[in-house]
Amino acid sequence: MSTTPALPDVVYFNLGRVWTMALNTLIEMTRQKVFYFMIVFALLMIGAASFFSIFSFGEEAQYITQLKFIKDTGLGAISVFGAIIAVVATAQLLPAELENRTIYTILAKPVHRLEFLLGKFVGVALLLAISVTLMGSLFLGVVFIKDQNLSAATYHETIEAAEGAVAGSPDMKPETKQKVLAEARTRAEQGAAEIHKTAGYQDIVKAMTTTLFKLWLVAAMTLMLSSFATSMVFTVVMSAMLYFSGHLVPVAQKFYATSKAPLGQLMAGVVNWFLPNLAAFDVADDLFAGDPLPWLKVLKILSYGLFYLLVTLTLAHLIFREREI
Amino acid sequence: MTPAIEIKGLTKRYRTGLRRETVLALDHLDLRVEPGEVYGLLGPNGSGKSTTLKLALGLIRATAGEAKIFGKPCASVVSRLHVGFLPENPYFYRFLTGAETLMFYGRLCGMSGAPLSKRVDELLQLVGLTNAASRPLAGYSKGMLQRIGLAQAMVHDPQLLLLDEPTAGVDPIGSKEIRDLIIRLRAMGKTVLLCSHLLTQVQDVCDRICILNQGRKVREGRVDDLLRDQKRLCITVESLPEAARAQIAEWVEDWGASVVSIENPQTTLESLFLDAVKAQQPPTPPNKP
Amino acid sequence: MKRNWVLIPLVLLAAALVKMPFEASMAADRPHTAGVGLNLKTREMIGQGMSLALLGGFRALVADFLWISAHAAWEQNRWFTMRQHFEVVTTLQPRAILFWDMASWHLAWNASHAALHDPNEPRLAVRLRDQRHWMRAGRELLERGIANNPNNAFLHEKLAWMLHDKFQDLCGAADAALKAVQLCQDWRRGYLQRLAGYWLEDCARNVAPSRLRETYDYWRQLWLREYAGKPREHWDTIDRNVSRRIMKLEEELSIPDLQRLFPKPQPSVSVPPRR
Repeated sequence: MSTTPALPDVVYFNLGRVWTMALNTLIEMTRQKVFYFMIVFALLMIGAASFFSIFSFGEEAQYITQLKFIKDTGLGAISVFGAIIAVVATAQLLPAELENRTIYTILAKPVHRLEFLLGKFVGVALLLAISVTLMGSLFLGVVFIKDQNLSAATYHETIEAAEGAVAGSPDMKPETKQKVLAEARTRAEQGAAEIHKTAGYQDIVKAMTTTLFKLWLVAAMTLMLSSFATSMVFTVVMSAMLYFSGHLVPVAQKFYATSKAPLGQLMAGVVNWFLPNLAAFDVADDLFAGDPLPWLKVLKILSYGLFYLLVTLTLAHLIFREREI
Repeated sequence: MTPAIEIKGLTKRYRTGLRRETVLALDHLDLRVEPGEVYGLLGPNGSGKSTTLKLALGLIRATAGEAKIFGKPCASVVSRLHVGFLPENPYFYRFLTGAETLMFYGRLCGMSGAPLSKRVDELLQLVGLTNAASRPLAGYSKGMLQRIGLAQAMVHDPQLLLLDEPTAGVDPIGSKEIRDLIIRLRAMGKTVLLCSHLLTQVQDVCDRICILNQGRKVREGRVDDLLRDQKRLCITVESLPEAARAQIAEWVEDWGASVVSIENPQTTLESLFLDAVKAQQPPTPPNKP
Repeated sequence: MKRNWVLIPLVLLAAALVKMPFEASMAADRPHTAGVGLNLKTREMIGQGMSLALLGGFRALVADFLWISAHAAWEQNRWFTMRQHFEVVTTLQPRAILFWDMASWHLAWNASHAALHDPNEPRLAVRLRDQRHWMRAGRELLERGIANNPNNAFLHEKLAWMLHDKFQDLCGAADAALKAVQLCQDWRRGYLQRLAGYWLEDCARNVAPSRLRETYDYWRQLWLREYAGKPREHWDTIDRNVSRRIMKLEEELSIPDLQRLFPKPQPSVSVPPRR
């Protein structure tokens, strides 16, 4: 009656189980109302769009300032909210599993620890991707509306000025009138095109893509920390420190090369050698300053992100594999 | 035949705090659970029961010794292919419904599609939660959580079930249902290892038990053998007249034995409770269709 | 447990070995990020890096709000407050061209003008000194902006205007404008090319006669590149203006007839302008 099952020699790593874990993690976080951030973001965007339009700084091209402020708000909020989600949501994943003992039931199944860990990461990564996409669409929408309003206003102003000039000079020859109006139309179209260019949709998409990869990397670093941390506060504080130091990598590089102080050099060296350069993902300022960054170079930044994701998750796996639960 | 669980010289030493102090949680334990038996691991809190289960599930690493499940070392994922585990006081994802929970664990075990849905329905019926299947676990009572816990342990139809305090914190009716379930599992040919400190509840379901204390095995054997007091005998009779008692006592003494006590047998408080509650309400079979 | 003491350092080391060339290659793609690769003062660079790290994504937004306060300070003629805000704003967002441009303009034009016409200061010498002070402040800020954005044509052009209008430095203005022409890629290029030519000529005629030849070469190349090929009857004001300047220089520099763009009309043979 009782049987001894015939067992295979090995259970292979299975992406299906990773996916199951990931979806479960995603649903768990969704129901924790992470998406309330989105509402705050929406209000912020709409607020910024109307708030900044009341300022005028006496500059020649007002639209530059207005679009700049909106883009700063949008990209800033995406990056900050994203970082908060990446750190806080990730930091509580393993502690919550331990506290609820769900980790026991999961690891008691034929599940590799790597599958569990990767599932958790992919869940957070999905959450971040959804968040950035949602916030980004809203953001692009607001920029688009602003762009339309500003360019339409510029267009009509130019045309009306020309029409006024034509109407105000009755002894102008009809063909001259036609020429003046045609020139005004060309100028108006150029002006509108200039505003569309300043809106920089492609640049925004590039900046958001690199930001998403940065957020993934931050989430992976947080997961790595929480794979050995015993308290969530420790994880959050350490992640925040890694986040800041990661942005200082370029400075540390320069400091390392020029500084004479041995202690400072040592610290800069550690940062330089072992931390991912998070500043490399901040491309918005450069793009808006007019430095071209073709997609191929964006791709290089993304592959740098993937490379460090691999490193970080490998470390997390090595630590988590040995962890006593 | 390969034993369901084979533990040899298993030792676990925990390091506590920053200093080099260690706690010996398990001290050279030997254990062998044969397929098809219900084995009880008894002992007070901190005696090493949970440590043994965690070691058997590969959640922690042994300091020394080895543990095998169906002949596979416990650290390997393979060893868990035919193991179901119910942790002590289980909580699950509160936002998932009963059915979703079982689907999730089923998928982790590599099940999917129609066979999984069918299995989930079966299990919900088996543990009597069909009516609560679409409610989130946040609204489940302790007993219901325990039962959904049992169901998730059984989702992939494992040959071996490890149950940590399956009846702790559950009311007597729920506890009875869980014990009935264990008995049914044995009838199905499953092997069960259960940990408990509620001794009487374990008594009726276990074939063999092992008593642990401070990480060491104190006793092991068949429940009947361990409990049977070889020198004493208890005879239960009905409608015996008062006068006959003295005669029997004399007769016993003629044989050179002695009467320790003559008294009216008491029912257990538990069966009294069960009878009383059942008389109050119409019976509700756990697996109502 | 023991394995990790070997494996983790190994992974970190391997990562460091890949990281260095990877980052060097990325830095080559973007030479101006966070001031690295530029010859900025260490203090300035650390300030930028710190602000980047600490304020994270909201750095730009903080800069925007400080910009608004700087603007308010301007409206109330609180020049020192305005300047302080400009310092912070440009440290926070050294790649925002708008900030460098507007801030240096406020300092060199508005603040200096206000100092010259300060009703509370009766001494002209002091007012003149203060005027120079604000002009220098504007110039320093703009030059820092250029150090942070060396490839930005617009800032070079702004420097040219500032040197020309406020400092009467004709040669400096010409050089800045020439630099702007080199970097400019958009529609402003046409106008910048002529501006640089006019100012270079001004410089040569008024300050540095030795640069007259350079001016001629500049106009000549510009003509060949942009204007030549148009029949004379279709010339507009610009074409006529530029061609006149070239002719004048050809005369002054006694360019041999065969090398001239506009040879003197020979009594018998008429030579069309060379292409």
